[in-house]
Amino acid sequence: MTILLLGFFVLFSGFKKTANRLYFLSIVGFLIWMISDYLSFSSTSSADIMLIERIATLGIFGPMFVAMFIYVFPEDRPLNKKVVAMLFLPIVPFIVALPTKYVVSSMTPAPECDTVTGIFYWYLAALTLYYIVFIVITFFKKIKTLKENFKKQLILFILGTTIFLFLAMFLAIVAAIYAAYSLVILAPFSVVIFAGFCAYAIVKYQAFNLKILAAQMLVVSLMILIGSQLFFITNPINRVLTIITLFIAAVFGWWLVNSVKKEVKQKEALEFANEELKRMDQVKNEFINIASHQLRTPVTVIKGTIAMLIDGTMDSFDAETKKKFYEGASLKCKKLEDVINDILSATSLTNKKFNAMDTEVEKINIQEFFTKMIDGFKPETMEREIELSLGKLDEAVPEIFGQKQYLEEVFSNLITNAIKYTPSPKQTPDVRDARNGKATITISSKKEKDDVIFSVKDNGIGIPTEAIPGLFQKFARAKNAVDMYTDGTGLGLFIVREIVEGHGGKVWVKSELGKGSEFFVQLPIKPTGKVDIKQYIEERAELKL
Amino acid sequence: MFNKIKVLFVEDDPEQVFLFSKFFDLRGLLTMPATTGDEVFKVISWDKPDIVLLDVLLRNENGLDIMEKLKKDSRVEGVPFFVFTNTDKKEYRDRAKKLGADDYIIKANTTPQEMVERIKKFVEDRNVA
Repeated sequence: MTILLLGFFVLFSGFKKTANRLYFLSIVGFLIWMISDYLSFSSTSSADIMLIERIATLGIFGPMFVAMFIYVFPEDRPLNKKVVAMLFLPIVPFIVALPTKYVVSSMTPAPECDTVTGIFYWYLAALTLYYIVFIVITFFKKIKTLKENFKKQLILFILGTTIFLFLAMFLAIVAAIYAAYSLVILAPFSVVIFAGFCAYAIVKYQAFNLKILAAQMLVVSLMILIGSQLFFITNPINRVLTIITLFIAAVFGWWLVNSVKKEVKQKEALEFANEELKRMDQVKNEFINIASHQLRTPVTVIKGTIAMLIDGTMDSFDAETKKKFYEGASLKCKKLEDVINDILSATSLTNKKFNAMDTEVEKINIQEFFTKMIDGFKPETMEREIELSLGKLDEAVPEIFGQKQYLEEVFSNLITNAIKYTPSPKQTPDVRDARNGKATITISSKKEKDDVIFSVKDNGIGIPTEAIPGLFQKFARAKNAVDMYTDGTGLGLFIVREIVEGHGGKVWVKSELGKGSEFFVQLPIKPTGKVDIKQYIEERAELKL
Repeated sequence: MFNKIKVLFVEDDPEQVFLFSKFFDLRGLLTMPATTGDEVFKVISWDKPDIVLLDVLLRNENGLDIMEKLKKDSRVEGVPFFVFTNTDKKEYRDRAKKLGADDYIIKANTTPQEMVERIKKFVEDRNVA
């Protein structure tokens, strides 16, 4: 009874939530099993007992709903058809076989309760194990994807109790096959523990709803209390008064519940804002840390060089050494400039996540776009003896639509990176490990349905596999001392990603350490039959945001 | 004969290595540069430094990890350590202190001249004591 109440409680505390419904259904499943098991011990007619025992086996729906529940909870993942089929279909043969002797062939009434079980009883045990396996696999997948510790704890909590329950059920089924009834006793306990713990986890997770529920219960009991008076009152005036009171109570109650709901919503919003603030604060701290390091490093060299000029030390060096000092200072000035530009870029992008809607898109001729860009990089590529060239451009896509100045930033960031991480034969070993062979960077394009995929490929130092997943995140490189050492801010690829996604595209990388990297930028081109390119890109951009 | 103060300078940014080592050498110190942990141990196998200047954020490694290993190495027993970096994180400061760093200096807040004075004073005071 308590369990059923718990089930209802959870159901009504979040009626519209799939997880709550599934929880309720699983409770019903287990109750069918428990109650019919219990009845089978007290029934005397052999025919009744057979029927009851058969109904008991329908308790397998309990584990099935639990499996669905674990799949959905706590992130409210939608149940897709594939999962439902995967979980439900194995039960079908069992239901078909239920009326036959292959499930329960005969049973004697209490006190013996000797059940003769059919082959499908084994199938039932196998099903239980199947659901356990499903749940454990789902669990491990979840643990990987869930970020918040709290959610992880919750799901772990549920997992533990669920396995306990299923093992108990499995034991009970096997016990029925071998007529070892002392084991069956464990089952009801496990159901109670499961039901209690899960209800706790669900309610704890959706904690705020409790308040609404309490207010609703208060109002309803008040109404019942007032309404019940109508049965005892004979005086018509009193009756009218009571009806008026009831009406006022109803209005007041409605107002009360609504205001509680409002408060809860505000609180939830506040909680969310608070979390967001905390996260932002963390990002900000990290930002200040990195930014200060990246700003200080060039300053150190510039300041030191100037200090040596001021006190005359510089005069004691020969011309070549002096030149090297000035070049070092000049290089650091350039880096300082880059860092400042990157920081400004990144902050304006995150203030309001960049989105192609804000300004007009324009037609961009791909060949022209890249030729011009490659020309712009000439001084750097010549100096470092790197061959930056245009590879195969897909003739099917001569032009795309986008925001030119932003897309320029995307590709110039990618090319800058490629240059930075592709050592030229000229470089001295103390700068980067010298690499044999010619340094090349190639840009190419390829049509893919309604999109075009651009590739910027280099044969540079490559990216360590473990660094790839976080590469496009803001400051992701920062955590990694390797990348932090290099001169960037850890913002370049973040900016690339924001702009590309703002256009409704995506960006990814393939890389092999020591062999080189290939960055891909997928952008939408012109959809056939649709003229309003701007709207098209807007829609795609919206979908992404 | 006058003995030069030997500075083990752990730094991987080429411009900074050049700037500080040139200046230190000019002012009578002997710079022993190292860009990686491996190089650090190679250098100390040749000669014992009088002081170690250590950057924190190195390519592939953390200078404080190198320091932790050095602290256990008998070849550099009793050698003072200056953490010499541009990163100023409480986490790093705490760890440096725990490892027994003698100072934590932000590079951008100093000049090569100041550093020479500081190193000379520190090593000489230590030798007197």
